[in-house]
Amino acid sequence: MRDAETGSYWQQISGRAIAGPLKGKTLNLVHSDEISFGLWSREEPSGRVLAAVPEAQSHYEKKDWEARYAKLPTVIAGPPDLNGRELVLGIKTQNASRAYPYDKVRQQKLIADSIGATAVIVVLGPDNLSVRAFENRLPSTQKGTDFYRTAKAGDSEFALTDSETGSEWDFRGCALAGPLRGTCLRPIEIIKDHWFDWAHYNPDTTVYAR
Amino acid sequence: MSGTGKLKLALPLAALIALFMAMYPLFIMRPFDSQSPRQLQAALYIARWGPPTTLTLFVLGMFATAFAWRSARWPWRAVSIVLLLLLGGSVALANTNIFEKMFHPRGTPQFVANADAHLDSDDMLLLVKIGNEAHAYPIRSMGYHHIVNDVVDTVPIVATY
Repeated sequence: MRDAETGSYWQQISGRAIAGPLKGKTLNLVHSDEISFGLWSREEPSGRVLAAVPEAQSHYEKKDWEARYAKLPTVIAGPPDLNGRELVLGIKTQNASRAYPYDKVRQQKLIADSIGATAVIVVLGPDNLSVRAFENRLPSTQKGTDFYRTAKAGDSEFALTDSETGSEWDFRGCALAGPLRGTCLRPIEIIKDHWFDWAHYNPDTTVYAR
Repeated sequence: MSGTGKLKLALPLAALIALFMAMYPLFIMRPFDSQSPRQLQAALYIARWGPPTTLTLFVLGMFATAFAWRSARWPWRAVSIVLLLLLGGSVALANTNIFEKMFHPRGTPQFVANADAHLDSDDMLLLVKIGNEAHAYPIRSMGYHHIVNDVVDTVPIVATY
C-alpha cells in the first residue's frame, strides 16, 4: 500500500512501512473478525455492510473463489508442514506464533491451546464458518480454565461454558449468564491466510497438531 | 572526442538510463513472481526517483540533440528522434504506476442495511468494531478493491485484504 501523504510503502500483512520517508514505522492494528453475513445479521440485526460499487460488481470474486485460488501455484514454496495453499488461521502472541489449519478447527470446533506464554481458545461459531480466538483468562481470576462447548436446548446456537464459574459465554466472548455475566474475554487477532504466506512472514511459526 | 561527439554519445546514454529507471521497477514488481527484500527496496527506490530523473534526462537529451543537430547528418538525426521518443516514453512510464492502475481502492465507502445487502448467509465479511460502531466489508468485494479507506467511530482506518 502507498500512502498519499508521504508516498511511503506499507506492507499489508504487517502494517509496517518498508520504503519511503516513514520506513520502519508501523500502523496500529485494529481488531477485526472474519465472520459470515448470516452470523453478522444475527449478532447485529441493524448492522450495515459496505455497499457494492455497481460498475465494479461484475469484477467481484465469485462464490467459488477460494476453490479456484486453492489450485493456483504459489510464488514461493512454503515449508513442507502443510500444502502451500492450505488455509490456516494464524495467531501471533508476544513471543510465539502458531497456524491452525482451518479444516481442523472446523472439525474440532473448540481448541484450547497455549501459544508461547499465552493461553488461548479458538472457537468455531454456530454457523460452522466463522472462527474467533480469545485469551483463556477469566476476568475474575485472571487465570485460565477449561471451556466446554454446549448446545442450548431446542436451539442451533451454542454457548461456551467455563468449568471455573459455570458462566455461559457467547461467540463474542461475553458472558450472558452466570457469575461472570457482563464480562468479556479478551479477543485475540486471527489472520486467515494461505500456509505459504503465513509461514513466510512468521518463519518461527508452529503448526497446531503437527 | 569532439564536443559534438560527446553530445551525440550523451543522448543514447540518457535514453538507456531513463529506460532502466522506468523498466526496472516494473520488472521486479511483476505479478506472480517473488522478489527478495533487496530487489524490492531497489525497485521502490528507483520508482521513487524515476519521475524527476527521467524528466531531467529527457530535457538534457533535448538540449544535446539541439546542439548537435546542425552538424549532424540524417542517419544520426533519425536515431536521435527515436531516442528522444524513447526518452519521452520512459518519462511517461516512470510517472505512471501501472500497478496502482490495476487496483481500485474505495475512498468514500457507502454502507447499506443488512436487509439491503443482497448477500448470502455464507458470504464472509471483514468486521471492524470500534466503540459502538461496526463496519462490515464483504470479502468478495474486498478481493477486488483490496483497500477501503474508512472512518469508524471517528477513527480513520484502512481495511485491506
